Amino acid sequence: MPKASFYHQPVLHLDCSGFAEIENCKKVLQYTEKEIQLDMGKQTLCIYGDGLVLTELAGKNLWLKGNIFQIEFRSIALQDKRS
Amino acid sequence: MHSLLTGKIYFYAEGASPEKLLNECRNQAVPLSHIKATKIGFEGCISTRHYPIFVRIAERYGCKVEMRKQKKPLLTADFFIKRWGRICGVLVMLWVIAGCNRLVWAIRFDGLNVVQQQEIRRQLYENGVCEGVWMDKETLSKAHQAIMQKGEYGWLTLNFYRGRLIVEKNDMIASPELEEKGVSDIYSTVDGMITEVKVTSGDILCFTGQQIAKGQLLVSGRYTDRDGKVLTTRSQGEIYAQVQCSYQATQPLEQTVQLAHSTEIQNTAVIAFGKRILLNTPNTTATDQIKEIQLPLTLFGFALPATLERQQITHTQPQTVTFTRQQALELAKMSCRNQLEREYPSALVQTEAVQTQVQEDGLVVNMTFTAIVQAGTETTVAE
Repeated sequence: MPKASFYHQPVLHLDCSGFAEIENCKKVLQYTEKEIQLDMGKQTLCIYGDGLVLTELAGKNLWLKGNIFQIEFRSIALQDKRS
Repeated sequence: MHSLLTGKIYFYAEGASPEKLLNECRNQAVPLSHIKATKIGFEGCISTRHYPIFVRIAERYGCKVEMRKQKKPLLTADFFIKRWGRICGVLVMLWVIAGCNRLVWAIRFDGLNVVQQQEIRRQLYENGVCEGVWMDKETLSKAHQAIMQKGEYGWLTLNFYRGRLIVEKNDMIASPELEEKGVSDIYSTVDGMITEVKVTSGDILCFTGQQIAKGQLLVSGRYTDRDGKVLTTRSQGEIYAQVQCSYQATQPLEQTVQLAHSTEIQNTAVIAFGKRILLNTPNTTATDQIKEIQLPLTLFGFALPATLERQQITHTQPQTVTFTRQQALELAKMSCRNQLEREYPSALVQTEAVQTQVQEDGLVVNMTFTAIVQAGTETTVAE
């Protein structure tokens, strides 16, 4: 059996038709039509695209739809150093 | 589906920190959907129940919320107010489903073909069992006994549970008959010439080619063995003889017959909730042919606790039919052949001779048949 903390890890599900599901996201840092930044704990997830729509927002899970061009994972430690 | 019951509101939120508003909604378990970012805020959809909470959160974070469109839930008090029929309809339906367990809603068959299903359905109807009647053990038991008495089924069950009657059966397998003991002879039933002798037991007293007379002993059940001892047995077998028989038939050239000229189907009654409701009383005459049919009622494939009684009425009227000579001759010949078949069901016709007598208003036909028929009949004698 996996550890209890296994099911609380941030997870990103992505398909090639522009649909993404983000689990265990801590908070939304920025949201515009072309960019969304999410605090995933140890990393920041940045999704760039066009016409990004949050189809559902419930609890710690998000469902996102749109034309996704780029996904970036930024380490918070590195961001702090650079800043 | 959930939104049909709860209703939803499309809103537009603008303000200084829309992301904080989204995060606070998540923290307070306020579900949002179809969130689309705009230049200075976002628009989305929320359930009617959570909208007041969302507005309070938005005010706290300095966001202005504007309602764009509202879809009310399907089932609200307005749905029922001044429409008492809707509440009554729902209550009646609940009563029918929960309180009518003893009502026959549907009759289903397991392991029966279409013809057998129709036959059993008719037999059940004759014993007061059909869709729409109140069922009790006594009625079911009587119907079961009545159907079993006909002797067609070796095993039949009528299982009734919560409105559903399931019929299962097994066909009757005839048990072999025990051979009777005793002494019997075979006597001739015709005048003719023997063509074939197939005797399995008894003392054969005839032979192929022999001329026989009616009542002549052909096979004897008593015979003596080489020691002179008299033995008895049942005479069994088949003896065929060639016979000549004549029949006469008269066929008029004009005949009045009842011919069907139209058919109509009329729904006469509906049986529902144990009551028979008359719909229509069709006008029929003595010459009409009436066929009664019982059909279970369904609605879009769902069984209703009701049976429709229907009558198929074929109207006939007397009509004079004129035959040609040839048609009259054929009809008379067919009549003669029918007479032969009635007297000798297994006759094999070898030749037939026709004599026709023409009369003013018809034909008289005499036919003579030469046929092979079964000539012997077993007769029990005292030992």
